[in-house]
Amino acid sequence: MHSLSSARGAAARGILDMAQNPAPPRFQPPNGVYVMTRLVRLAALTVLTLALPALSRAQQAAGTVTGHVTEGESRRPVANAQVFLVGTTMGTRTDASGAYRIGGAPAGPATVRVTLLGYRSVTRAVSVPSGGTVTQDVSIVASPSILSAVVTTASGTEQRRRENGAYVPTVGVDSLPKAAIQNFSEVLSGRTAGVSVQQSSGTTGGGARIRIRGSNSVSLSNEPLLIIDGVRIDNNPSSSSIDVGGQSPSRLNDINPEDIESFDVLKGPAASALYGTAAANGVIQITTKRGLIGRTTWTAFGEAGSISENNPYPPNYGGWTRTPIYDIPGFATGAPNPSCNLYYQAQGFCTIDSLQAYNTILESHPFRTGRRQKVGGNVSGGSSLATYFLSGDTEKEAGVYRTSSLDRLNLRGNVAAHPTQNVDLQISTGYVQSNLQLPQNDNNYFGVISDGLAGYPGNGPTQGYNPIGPDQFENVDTRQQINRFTGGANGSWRMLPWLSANATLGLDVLNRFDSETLQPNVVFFSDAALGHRESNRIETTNVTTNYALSARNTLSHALNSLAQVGYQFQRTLDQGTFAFGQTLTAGTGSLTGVNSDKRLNESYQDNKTAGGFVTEQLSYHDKLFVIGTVRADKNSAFGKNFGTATYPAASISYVVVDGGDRLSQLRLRSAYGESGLRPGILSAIAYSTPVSVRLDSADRAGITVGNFANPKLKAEKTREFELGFDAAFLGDRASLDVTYYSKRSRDALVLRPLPISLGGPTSQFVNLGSVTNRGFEVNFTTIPIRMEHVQLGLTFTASNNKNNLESIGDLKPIIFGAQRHEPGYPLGGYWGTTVDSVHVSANGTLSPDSVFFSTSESKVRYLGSALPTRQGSLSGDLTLFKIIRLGSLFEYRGGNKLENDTEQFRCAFSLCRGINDASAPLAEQANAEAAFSSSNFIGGYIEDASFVKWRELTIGVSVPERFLGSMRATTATLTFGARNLHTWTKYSGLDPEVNGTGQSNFVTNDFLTQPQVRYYTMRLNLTF
Amino acid sequence: MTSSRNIFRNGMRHRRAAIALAGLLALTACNLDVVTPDVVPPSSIAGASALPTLLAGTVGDFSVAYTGINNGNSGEGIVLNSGLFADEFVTADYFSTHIEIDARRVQVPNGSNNGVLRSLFRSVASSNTTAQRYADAGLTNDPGRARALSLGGFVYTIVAEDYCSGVPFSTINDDGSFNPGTPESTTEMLAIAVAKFDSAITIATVARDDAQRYLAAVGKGRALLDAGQFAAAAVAVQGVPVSFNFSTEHGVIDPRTENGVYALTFVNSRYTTSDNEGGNGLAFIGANDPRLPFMSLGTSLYDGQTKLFATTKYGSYTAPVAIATGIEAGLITAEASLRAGNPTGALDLLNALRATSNLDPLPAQTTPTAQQDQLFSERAFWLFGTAHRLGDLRRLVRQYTRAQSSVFPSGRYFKGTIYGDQVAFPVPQTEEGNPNFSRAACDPTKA
Repeated sequence: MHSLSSARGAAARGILDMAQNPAPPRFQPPNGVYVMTRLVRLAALTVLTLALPALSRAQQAAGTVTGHVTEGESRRPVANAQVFLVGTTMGTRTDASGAYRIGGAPAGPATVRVTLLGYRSVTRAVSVPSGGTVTQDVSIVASPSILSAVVTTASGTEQRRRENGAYVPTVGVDSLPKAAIQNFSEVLSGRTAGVSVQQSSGTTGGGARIRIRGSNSVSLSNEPLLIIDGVRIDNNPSSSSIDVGGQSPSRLNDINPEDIESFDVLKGPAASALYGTAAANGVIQITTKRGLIGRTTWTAFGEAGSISENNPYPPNYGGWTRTPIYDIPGFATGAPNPSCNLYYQAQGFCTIDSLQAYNTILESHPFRTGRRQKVGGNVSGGSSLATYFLSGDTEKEAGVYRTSSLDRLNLRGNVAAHPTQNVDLQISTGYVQSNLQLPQNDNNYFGVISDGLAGYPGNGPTQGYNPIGPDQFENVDTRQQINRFTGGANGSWRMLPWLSANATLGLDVLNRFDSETLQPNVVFFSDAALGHRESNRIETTNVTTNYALSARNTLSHALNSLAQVGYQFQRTLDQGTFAFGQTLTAGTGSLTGVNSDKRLNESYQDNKTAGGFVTEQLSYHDKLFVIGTVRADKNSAFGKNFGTATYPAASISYVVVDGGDRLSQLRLRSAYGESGLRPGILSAIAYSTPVSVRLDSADRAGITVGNFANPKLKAEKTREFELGFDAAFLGDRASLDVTYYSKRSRDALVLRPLPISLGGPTSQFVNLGSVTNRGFEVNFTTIPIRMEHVQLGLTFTASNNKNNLESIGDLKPIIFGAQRHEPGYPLGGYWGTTVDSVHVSANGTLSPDSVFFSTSESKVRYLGSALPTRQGSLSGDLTLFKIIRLGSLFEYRGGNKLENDTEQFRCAFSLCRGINDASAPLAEQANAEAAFSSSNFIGGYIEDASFVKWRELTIGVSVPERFLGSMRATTATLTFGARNLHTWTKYSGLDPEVNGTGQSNFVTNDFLTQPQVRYYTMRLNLTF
Repeated sequence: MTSSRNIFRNGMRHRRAAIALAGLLALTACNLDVVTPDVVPPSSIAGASALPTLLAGTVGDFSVAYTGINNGNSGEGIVLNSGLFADEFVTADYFSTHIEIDARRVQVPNGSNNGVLRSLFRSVASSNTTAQRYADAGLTNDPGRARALSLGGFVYTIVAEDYCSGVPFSTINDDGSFNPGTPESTTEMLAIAVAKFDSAITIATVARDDAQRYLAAVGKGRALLDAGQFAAAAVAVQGVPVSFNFSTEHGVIDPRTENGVYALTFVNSRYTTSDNEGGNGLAFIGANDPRLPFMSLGTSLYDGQTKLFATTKYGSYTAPVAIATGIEAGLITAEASLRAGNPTGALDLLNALRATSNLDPLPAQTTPTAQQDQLFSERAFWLFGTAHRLGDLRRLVRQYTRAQSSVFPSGRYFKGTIYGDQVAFPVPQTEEGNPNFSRAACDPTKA
């Protein structure tokens, strides 16, 4: 006993020491090799200490537990349910017939626990005979509470949701209406509170900006980490090297919704501390589908649909005058033309004889009805030795532009093997090949909407477009082809009933080929007539290795322990070669055809993280759970004077009620955790940049200053505290989860603008900021009708986020366009001036110089958040007669503004109604006059961007069993799906959700951007 | 069957597994060293062998600041920006940053102004570093050091000419800490420039490098002219042959080496040569002066209204842009003569310069104002597109007591507003992170 308590004391002291000394001296050998001596020793001590009592129990003999899991009253077999022996490392999943078998169970009394998402967890006491078999059948009932859901942790082990004091929702993807979902960002959107998915545009292949519980970082990415089957994958939100104006693909959308079984959302450091220096923005942890023991099951599906663009584009205005202000193409020089406007008229420069309103986009409709098709299937099955899941599908989408398309092939092969009863092996492989053609738009002279909404107020030589029309800009062929392999191998070895090891090796390799071809003499603008070819090949590799050792121990009849120690190594390597040339030989489409302006470049960016963790979980009567964790990381991007980043975490979960009628479940929970973000790969070091110089009649090598050193650069840390409860009531017909969270990022990495007089880089990363995010999240799910022929399920989510930049040290506010990082206000908020007053003449019109405003800094004020501060969703699922299923999803976002740069731009260039039409509302005229007379007047165009969108509608019909025989199918479902059906908003532009800068970290505006489009899809699912 | 007995029986198997596990750990053992092949570490540019690379960098940085680069939408250097502010160029697009400069209403966040001044600061920092590295290597009197010093002197001169009085120049230490600069007045900037040119002249004289000596001499003369020391300016440029021409060099290996003036006038057509801009501007097109050949390129596709006239003086990506010439030396001497009360001598000098290009001699003007106008017109046509005109317009206000509204483009601006009252660029907002910078010290309406 003496030695035991000494060892435990040593472990405790070790953890304490680690927390108090973030840079233990042995952590940093001079050669840079990372030796985790201290952590390993500490971990070993911890595991051994907490496991010693179990060693004595290991003398016992073993038996087998078998049984079937069925669903409540229907007695239908339940497949894929997880079955565990409580207090051991032993567990399995039910096969297609609901059967399970756990061999090697310690003889004696044991507890079997069955869990499955969407069902209430059930435990049964059994007595395992030595050398014999005990059978325990279990019946489970559906419940909206997801307390029983099982989440895979960063260590690779599975954890019930009730054990974790942090709120980690799990979303089952199989039940989502695929007919109304085109990509993974749409899978995420509106499913759980606190996750904000902003679709940047309606462009096929475009991306989405994802924020979980707000933005933490001033200058680093705020996108969550993505993990598939334990393997970290590239989560680049703006993944393109060729500018098409604003939009770019998100790598998130490479994930095929068809292959996902479920995903967990670790919303912040309180839940994600084990992921260390990458997880401050939360983690989306995806589990792909697995095969089940049993007969081979074939599934096939096909869908086809249309994409329509029905947005009310505004006309381009101009005031006809006999005294033209300037010439307009299509009108004779000096002849009357629509170049006058209210401002010029007020100044006495011209007189508007009549108003011209020409709707370029509607008159020469540049859109087509898009098409979408997807065909695929999967086969799964297996035996007790191995299971498999193989799938494949092809997807074709022709967007609403003639230069917009996506072809994609998805393949997946997942195999799980159980060579012995103590060893599980799992291999997951996914492959994506796609060819995306992106249209030109947004801030782009070759843009469809850009040239249409900035067009001439008349049908000139370019059909009213400016500067070029569709006959020219549709010749720009911009593409992105990818080949992406994501694979992982996971092995778990239950060395002893109380001790298991888990290892994961993973690889995510993305080969991207970005290209653009413009044939010569098809676009007559600037040097585009020369034609050009750009060809960029980029490879991004993510390597993941995780090892963990877990020891479960029953300390007493009521107290159980789980101790874990683990080690992780992560490497991200980006390599790219970039080439461009002009004067393309007509008919060629490669660099071999270019004859001038040949450019070459190359990039190589390598980052490595090594980390270790120790965690201890204690559970009391399976009702009270306490978890403590410490993770320590080193990263190659840290400054040379910075040692190790440590991330502690702790949580407590107390199940107050677990059973009953009115209130069937109540859990109180709280969690605290820290995690981080690394600085930019080259941010800590001083370097110069190589440049070419023409000198003494020769091309020579030169340098220019690249970066100033910051040897103290360290990880940005975010700590989070959350508190909440989960409840199930009304006979398990309703569940309610409420969470309050509070996050604070300190040592925030701020890209400090450097005084230009230094003659160096524009900015430098420094750790000097702090950012807070606070808010509430509510998830309410109910089944108000549960009858034999009618069943209705409703889910309501709501959340708010109060983001505040506490400090940026001694820096002045960081200003970018109409947005600022200003202490005391949300990150990237809108700032500007608005019209102070307007003097209206007696006849009700604005008189000359009657719009009073100022753009001086002293008048600039905060105008609102650029990111939603409130959001919610309401989804419903109605099943009639067991064969008809109706589903719908409504999403709300609010509390934010959007810069209507489209309108500001059009007014500044005399094209909007407000600057031309005296019958326009006076407020519109006033803003237009201010914008026309001052390019810095933006405040009048920062508009309320709150909206409610009817996002999804699905109507599905299952073919009755009596008709399936002729099809040789076991199930058949035909589903109609629609997406983006209607928007309710006060925003005066076309879509309050879009962003003309794609998925940029903070910059948010609507600048000549493609609004969301509507999808109608029919989908047939068959199972054999 | 798993039991403790089995564990011991199968100890060998478990040991193997443990070894395999340890092997896996070792395989991924975590050397956190990474290579950075895209950048140049400080160690690679240390010592005398790195001096050619450093000097090339300094030459390149100056070229970027002066003529700009081929960057499609932007990439202006001070030649275009100062010419746009003055009456040499007008904008043919609708970038608000360009319109602000053209209409003399430059806001402090203006990105175009920010980019150009950043390049100028980068150039002076580079020239300081290179000159110091030559000294550190014991090559105090190397012509390369003279060249670096002269290019630094030109940057100080240009900033003094085109920017408000009160521009700070900051420096960085080897440990990454900064020395924030304090605002330098126009007079102080010109004094620093003269000191740099003097050092360069001394070095070039010892090294017997005439090109570097003339370059520094013309630079010194220009700075002294700006400082109102006309006689000293004339002395400084004595001996510079009229045929002397020291220009930037441009190639097509990289956008950074390409002539940015050509890229933004001929290729991208964002700037066009102006004609009587704002009433006071010279007739750069209408004069049909052979020193300023141009080509009509039709109407701008950006704004649909501006007529495009691109000067063939910069008719290719490789066209050089003069930094200092013997012609400028002659113009400095002529102005000194005029200021000394010898208009006849000044006219003779101007006509001698014109004769080198077979231009007809100018008629004698009878009033001092007309003589001054004649001189400044000659300077404008000889030095078009070399970042002299804005400084000259300011000198007309500062040294010849003209009203700014009588020399700068004024009145109704052709893109919907009226000209402002600025006569110089403000220091951009990005300098406000310098604790020593004072916005009050920088008044862009003061000549």
